[in-house]
Amino acid sequence: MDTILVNQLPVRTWNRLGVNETALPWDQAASRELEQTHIAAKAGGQETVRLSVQGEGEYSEKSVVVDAAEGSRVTVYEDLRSRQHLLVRTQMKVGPGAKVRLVQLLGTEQDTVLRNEVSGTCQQEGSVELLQVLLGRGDVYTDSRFTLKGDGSALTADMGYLGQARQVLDMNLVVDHYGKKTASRIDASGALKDAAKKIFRGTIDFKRGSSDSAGSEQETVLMLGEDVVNKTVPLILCAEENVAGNHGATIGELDDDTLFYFESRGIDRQTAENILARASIERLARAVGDREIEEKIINGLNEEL
Amino acid sequence: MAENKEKTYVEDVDRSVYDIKDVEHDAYRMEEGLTPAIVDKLSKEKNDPVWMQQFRLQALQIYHELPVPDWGPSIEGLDMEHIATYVRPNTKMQNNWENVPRDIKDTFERLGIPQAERKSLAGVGAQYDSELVYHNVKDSVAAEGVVYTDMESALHGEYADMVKKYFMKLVTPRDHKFAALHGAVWSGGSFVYVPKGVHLSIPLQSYFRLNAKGAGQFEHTLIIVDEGASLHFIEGCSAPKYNVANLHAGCVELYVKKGAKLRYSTIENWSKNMYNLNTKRALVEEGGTIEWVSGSFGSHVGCLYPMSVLKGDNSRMEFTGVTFAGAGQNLDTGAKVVHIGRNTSSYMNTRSISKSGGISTFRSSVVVEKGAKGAKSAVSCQSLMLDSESRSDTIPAMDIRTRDAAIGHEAKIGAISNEAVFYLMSRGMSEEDARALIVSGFADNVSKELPLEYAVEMNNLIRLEMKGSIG
Repeated sequence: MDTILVNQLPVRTWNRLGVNETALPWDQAASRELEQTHIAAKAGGQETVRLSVQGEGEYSEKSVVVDAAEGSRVTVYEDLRSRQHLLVRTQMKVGPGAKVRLVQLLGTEQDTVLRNEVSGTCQQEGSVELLQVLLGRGDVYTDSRFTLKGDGSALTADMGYLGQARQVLDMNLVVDHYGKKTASRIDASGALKDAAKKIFRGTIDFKRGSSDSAGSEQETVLMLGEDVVNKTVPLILCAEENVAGNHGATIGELDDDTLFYFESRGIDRQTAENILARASIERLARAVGDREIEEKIINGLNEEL
Repeated sequence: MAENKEKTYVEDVDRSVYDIKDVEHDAYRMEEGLTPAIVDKLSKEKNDPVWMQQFRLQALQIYHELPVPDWGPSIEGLDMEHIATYVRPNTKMQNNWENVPRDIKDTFERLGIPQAERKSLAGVGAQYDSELVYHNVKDSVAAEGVVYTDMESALHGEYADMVKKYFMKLVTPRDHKFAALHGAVWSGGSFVYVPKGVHLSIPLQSYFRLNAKGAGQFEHTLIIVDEGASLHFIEGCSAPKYNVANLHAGCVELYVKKGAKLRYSTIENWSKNMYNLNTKRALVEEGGTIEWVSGSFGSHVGCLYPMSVLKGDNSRMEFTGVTFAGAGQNLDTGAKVVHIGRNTSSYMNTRSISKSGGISTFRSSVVVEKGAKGAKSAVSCQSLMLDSESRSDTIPAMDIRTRDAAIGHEAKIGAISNEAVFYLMSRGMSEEDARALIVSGFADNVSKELPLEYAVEMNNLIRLEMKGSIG
């Protein structure tokens, strides 16, 4: 059994905070490689692909490659469900003016581990829209890295999660701005119940030369359990003058004003907390734009709450 | 005639008054390096009690065990084998400026210390290289039972037991490598005790001047503000620039007892050959308040993160800071807070400016322990980059272990806003004046928290020269 380091911060900070990276036991030698999926869209074309990956055996890994040629539109729906230990790597090459939409439903059964690695490089005016929903009972380690290489390229990332029981949700998202007039928006929101542990690392990195670029990052965490642990590490790294970067984080439980609003309408605290815990994931479910995936998300929510 | 448009720029901090070097007339200079023999010799020079001698040697051992941190700015240019850890000036500590050797006195006169003492301070400690050369407290303040003395006197006199009880218990040698170094070779600094219920309406100040080339300064500041008392303590520092490294690894330990309040203000203006690896920590009891006001303008490499432990229920922390990183500087600054008691609150408000290739990093840590019900914390960090040669990084972290907490964080980075400039210009201001106003206002969060004389000094350090228009 090996111990691997995953979800590494681009710039280290105090070691005693335990946020620089995560050490994860993982038997690489035992991992079975599943058949690679290659999705290619020709110039100006459109592709929509659905993938359902469940893993085989104790350790398995799957690679998905998305190649979006110039001006193409690609939508990939990934339903990833770990039964034991599953690693899924999705790599995207986004050509000039191409748009890739990646919707991921990251589900885990109890006592299982899902590793999700996403990477993408965008050429001029290319863009990626990433939508991730973390729902289940096992541990999820998701590491997403994007390079906005071409001028005018963009990333939007929306992540929603519900952590419960003793679940570990470990998220890392890095976007490197290289081109001029590149844009990124990261929005992560979710709820933590019981004794769930969650860490979200979000990095916006403006490299020299990325003038007139903008990046924003927002995280909202609803703390609902007595034994939850939340770690939030929002980084902005900047080597370019003419950029605008900002980040914000709001962490806490149901505030008194919101609770009063619900109770004055006959809704008790527990129900109010469930409504809000569902809210961030329901919002993403509606944004998916696909009935099948939307139903899976809502059904998953109904099972958990 | 065509107008000659001149590029607008923010002038570098003016250092001329700080860069004057005194000829070194040291009474004693320790050989360079760091060995048990050197630490033992230092201990004998200072006539340490036995416990302190043993403490130093244990700290040295810990120093050799601990690694250099694997994060933060590089300190490769710091070679402890070429640092003299103890330099004693050719004078004993005086309580009258007339008795201080002329060259040293003139240095402090240029820095404005005696004048400030006369005008607006309750007491002053002035350290030159490794020892205090002047220490005085107003009679009226001493009459209230306030103790303000040098650490060496406190170690031997009637407060010896108190010092032993508190010394390096908040910042221990095991904290990090340079805390261990401090424990081994510390010298100078101040001990302050404010009795219960005593409120000092005017500040105490310590000023640290490192004149010796290739030397280190390792002063220790220990302040205890007893129940219901209050104090404003100001520290300042400077050094002339040399072409070899100097090191500052001081330590500040602050104990804020029940219902007490302590404001700790610092204007840091070390020279650009200085490695500033300072450690500051406050322990706040029930209902107590610690306020940090911090201006960082000097050093070649700086690592400075005042930390507050909010141990008591209803304890509070406020941190207000500004950092200016210019050419050749890598300043890694910020703050840390740990919420332990119930209904504690913390607020951080920082600004940073980078120019001419300077690197400014804001680094923070907010930890809320499981029992810290009702904790509130807000962090606001704004960074201004004045050119694309420079760098500005924001590295905050939050670790929250109770649901009963309200935590907020925001950060912004960017250049001077064109919209703000346009707004001011539409009201009749020139572009040059508009940009000057914006930049000077950006650092206002710290200057407005300082006594007027220190705000003026701080603003002098950020002097803006605006000519023509931004090109």
